[in-house]
Amino acid sequence: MKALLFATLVTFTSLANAIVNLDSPEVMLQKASIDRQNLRDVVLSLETQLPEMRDLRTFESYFFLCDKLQEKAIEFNLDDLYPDGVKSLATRMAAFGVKWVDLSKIDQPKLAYYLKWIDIEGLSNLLSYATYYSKKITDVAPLKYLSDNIDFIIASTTYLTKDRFDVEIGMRELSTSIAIKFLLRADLSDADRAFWASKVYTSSGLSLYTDQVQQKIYGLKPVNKAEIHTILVSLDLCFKISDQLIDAPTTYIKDRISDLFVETVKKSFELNEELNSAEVELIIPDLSLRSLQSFSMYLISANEEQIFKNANSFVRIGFLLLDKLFANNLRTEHTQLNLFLGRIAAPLQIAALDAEGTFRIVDKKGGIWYLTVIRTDSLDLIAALADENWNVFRTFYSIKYFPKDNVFMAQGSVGQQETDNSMINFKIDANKNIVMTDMFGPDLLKNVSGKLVEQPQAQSHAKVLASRISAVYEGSVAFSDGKPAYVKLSIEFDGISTTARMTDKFGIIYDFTKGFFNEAGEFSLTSSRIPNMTWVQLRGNFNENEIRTQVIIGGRGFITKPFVLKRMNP
Amino acid sequence: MKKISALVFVILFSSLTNAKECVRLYYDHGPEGYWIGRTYALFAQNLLGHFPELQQIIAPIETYKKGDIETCRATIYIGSYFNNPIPPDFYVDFENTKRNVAWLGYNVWNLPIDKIWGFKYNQLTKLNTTTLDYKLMPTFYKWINYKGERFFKYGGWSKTNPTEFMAGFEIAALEPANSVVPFETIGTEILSTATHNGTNDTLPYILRNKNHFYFADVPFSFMHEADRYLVFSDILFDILNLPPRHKTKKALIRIEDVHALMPLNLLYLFTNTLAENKIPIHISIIPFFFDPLKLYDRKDNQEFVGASHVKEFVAWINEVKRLNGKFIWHGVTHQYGRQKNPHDGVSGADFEFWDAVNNSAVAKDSVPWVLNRLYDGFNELDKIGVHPKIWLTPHYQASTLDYYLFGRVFPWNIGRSIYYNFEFKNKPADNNPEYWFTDLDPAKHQKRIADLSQIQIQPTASKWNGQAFPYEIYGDIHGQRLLPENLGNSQPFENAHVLIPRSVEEIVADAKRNLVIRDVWASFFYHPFLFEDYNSGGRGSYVGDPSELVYLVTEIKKLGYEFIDAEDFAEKNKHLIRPEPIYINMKKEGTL
Repeated sequence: MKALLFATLVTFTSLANAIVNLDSPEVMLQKASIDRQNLRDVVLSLETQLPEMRDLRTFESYFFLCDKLQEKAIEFNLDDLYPDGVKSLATRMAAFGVKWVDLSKIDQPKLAYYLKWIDIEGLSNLLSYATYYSKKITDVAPLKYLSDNIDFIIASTTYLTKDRFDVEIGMRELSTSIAIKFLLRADLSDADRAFWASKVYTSSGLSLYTDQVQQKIYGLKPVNKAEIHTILVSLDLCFKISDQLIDAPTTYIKDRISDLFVETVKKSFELNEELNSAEVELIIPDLSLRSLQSFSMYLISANEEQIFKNANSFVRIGFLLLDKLFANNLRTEHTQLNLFLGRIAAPLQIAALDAEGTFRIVDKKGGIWYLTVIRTDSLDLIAALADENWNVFRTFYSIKYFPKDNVFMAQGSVGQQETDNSMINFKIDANKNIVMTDMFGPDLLKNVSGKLVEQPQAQSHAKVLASRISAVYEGSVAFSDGKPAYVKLSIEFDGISTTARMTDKFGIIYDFTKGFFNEAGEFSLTSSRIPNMTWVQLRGNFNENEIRTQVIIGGRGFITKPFVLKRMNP
Repeated sequence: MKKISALVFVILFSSLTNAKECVRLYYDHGPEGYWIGRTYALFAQNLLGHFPELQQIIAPIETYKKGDIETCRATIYIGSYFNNPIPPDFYVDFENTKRNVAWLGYNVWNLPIDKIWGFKYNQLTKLNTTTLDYKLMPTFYKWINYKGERFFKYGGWSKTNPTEFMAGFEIAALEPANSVVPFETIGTEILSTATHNGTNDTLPYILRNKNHFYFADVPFSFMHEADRYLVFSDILFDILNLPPRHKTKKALIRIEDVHALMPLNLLYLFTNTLAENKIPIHISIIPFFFDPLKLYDRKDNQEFVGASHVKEFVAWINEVKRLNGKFIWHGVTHQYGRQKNPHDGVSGADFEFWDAVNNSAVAKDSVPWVLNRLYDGFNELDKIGVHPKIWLTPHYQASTLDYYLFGRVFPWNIGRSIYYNFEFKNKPADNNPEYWFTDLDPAKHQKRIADLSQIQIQPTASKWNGQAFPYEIYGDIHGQRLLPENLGNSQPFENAHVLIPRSVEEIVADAKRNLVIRDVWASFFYHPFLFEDYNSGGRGSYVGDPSELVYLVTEIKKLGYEFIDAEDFAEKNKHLIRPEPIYINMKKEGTL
């Protein structure tokens, strides 16, 4: 019985070998090496028997003869009879054998051999088989291998695909479709994300990805606002991908990504999620012109409170954008944003540094100076410089901040006094140390340093209705001379502007021409310039039926301790 | 002394008896750059190849020396250059000789033609552009009447310049010199007349007075299957005073452009039809099918197919052998390289030994290229047991070098041929059987290449002309022995391959007309695709309808032609070849 089984197997094996009516590869090669006639006969025999090669092993044992046959073809001038005969055979063999080529497994030297001979039709078939195989694979590693092989094929066959771009597109679409499947996963490592992003070549693939990013943007809520950061990474990836697309102009694609970026930044402002420098600087350079324009318009028209709350990001983004607008010759937008940023950047930066208050500065001769820097509202900053005797020498109503150099430039309002054109600059570090230069003054005040010594105190907050601001408040206050005085503060708010006056029994103490308050109950009332003097600000908080406040004099700082004025109106 | 005298006598006698009788052929060399005179001469020379018993002496008329006419049995002068300065001795010798002499075309007016033929020269006829024929074409002395048949000259508008009318419309108009003494009285016969196809006027075309012949034009321009050129080829027997070689008129049909991927149903139909009609079968076989541009209906792995690799085709080949069919070797691939040359690059459709796109020799043309290619073809044919004795140049066109080689490596060729004026050096003998493709001996092949590589051939004119032959030629100027193909083929439709359609009725009519030509053949070919129906470009009423072929062979037989086995003929005559021509040149040796 055993013997019978063995005999059957032997017979079967013989039959299988007999399917291909060819001598062994070794014998074929020997024959081909004799002369042109034998070589030609070998070539034609292989061509004839090609359809009968039913398994990979048999096929490749003959296919891999082609290099040697080509050598013989050159030696024997086979071209004189059958031009490119071996090439033609090898091309057909390559096209025939691609059905066995599994790109998730084949090593690149072998693949290169196929590609050496393959023609565009064979390549097209290879693509079909690769698509088929790719759908059956779920593991990452073989799919990565397959994707790398596709890149290898694309790079190796440009001479074929230059006239048949559809085949290259097909290759890239396959690569993209695999990559997108992974890119849409949430559990991707950075390295994997970068890998798969590098395999996205088509606009349709990128669209799928950006669709998903867009959905994430629209799905941002306070609870998941931290996702903004991964979204920005994704958008940066989108930009990178858009540079490697091969099937469409990238303009409209970049427009879309840019729009999504702007949306994301808006969301970050809405949700008060601060963006770090790297995130912002990564993306701004990639923005499209259209988005640069719309983004600048958005910043200019942004809600003040949002701006204030996202001061850091806002300023950084604003100035980065400014450079970009200039670089792209968007002059109108550049001018508008520049004016806007100039106005808001200084108070925003002061707020960001939490550096409101009075700095004590020592000049080069050991003299003491006081620089008071105060916001009049969330988007306005004023300052005053006084000596140790609190003689105010300079008042500054126009202060700008230049984030690039991290420097504030302060100058007086034009036309009010002969020192109007005076100008100082100063830098404040995170520890609230200051370095100041009186730009047009004596050397004594150049590059002099100091420290913040006095800040408005944090107050408890309470919701304040705008309708309750206009009122009269009264109470006692001890000024720096130590004598208590009973004062009355009348505040008028007409819905747009605020004015106020503080009086005592002798008459007017201060007139405040500018007022600011917010829903948290913070307020400030600031005077205009006091002739031959400086400015004064009342800074404090509203509470239910009172205000808690202090008086700040430019160049002198707090001249009172916090005091309470009772609301006198019902 | 006696012994010595006897030896001298024997040698002298032997020398005289072995000396071939000769024929002199003179042409107008003309001024520098004038080439057509030599071309006309080579056409005449090729026809003289039917008479291998004669030594050809070819010379420009300008080299004539007094008395030369008397050294040969016949002399022919082709006058193609108007008022060419011919040596006066030639005029005198021509008039006075008792040898056969023929004058073709121009300059006859310098002869005493009234004395020789009783005629006087009037003028050269012109094209009549006011009296048009039924096709609205200009008219001229188009019809040539000979032995009761009417041959005609070609006339048609140029394909490249539609305002140019292409025709050999000039003939020398002769009229009797003396109304009192008719030309008949001095022995002149009018062998042929020319009739104007517009006016019906008639002029003498060929005159003969005993040994003096006159042709009113050079009959080699615009040759075609019913041309007056055939009349010349017949009268050549009289000029040479030689009898016909054959007692019967031979017919030959070949099945053309057969390769391994040809539809077998058509091939079987063909062979069966011929066998049923007892017609010897000749297959023009192409050893390798090649379709580099994939324009043929074939499988992917059939780009290049050797005949031996298609077993069904081999089975048909064996059937042909069983029917005693013969094979004519028709190129190696019958196409060139991987390009259109000029049609589609498919075997059977394109030129192989001629660059039809650039109208020049193919880029690879050389002795080793041609011979190694042929060796490949022979090797493949050998695999299927086919060893043809006859070569058929694809589309009849090749370079001069290639024709020269075909003339050396094949005992016989068949068909028409293209001719350039050319120069040569180191020409091997025309008939050395060692060079023939009879076996695959590689040493013999290498010797073949080495020996034949010594030939140096250089065309001297850029224009070529083709020639068809009414009878077999035992050596054209290339040294090819040629079986004729003089009736063309059935070409029902004008297309890229066919400039002038041709019907089987025309073929039969030509064959009938040709019966007045001595030794004439009825040789033609037929394509298997003609068995397709009309809608598919064939001639059948249905697919597989052989009635046109049956009509053709039946009518040819009825005319008295006898279909022969060409290979038998070739085998019997494989050593018969005209002597190496003697060329007398104006300038240097080797200028033809």
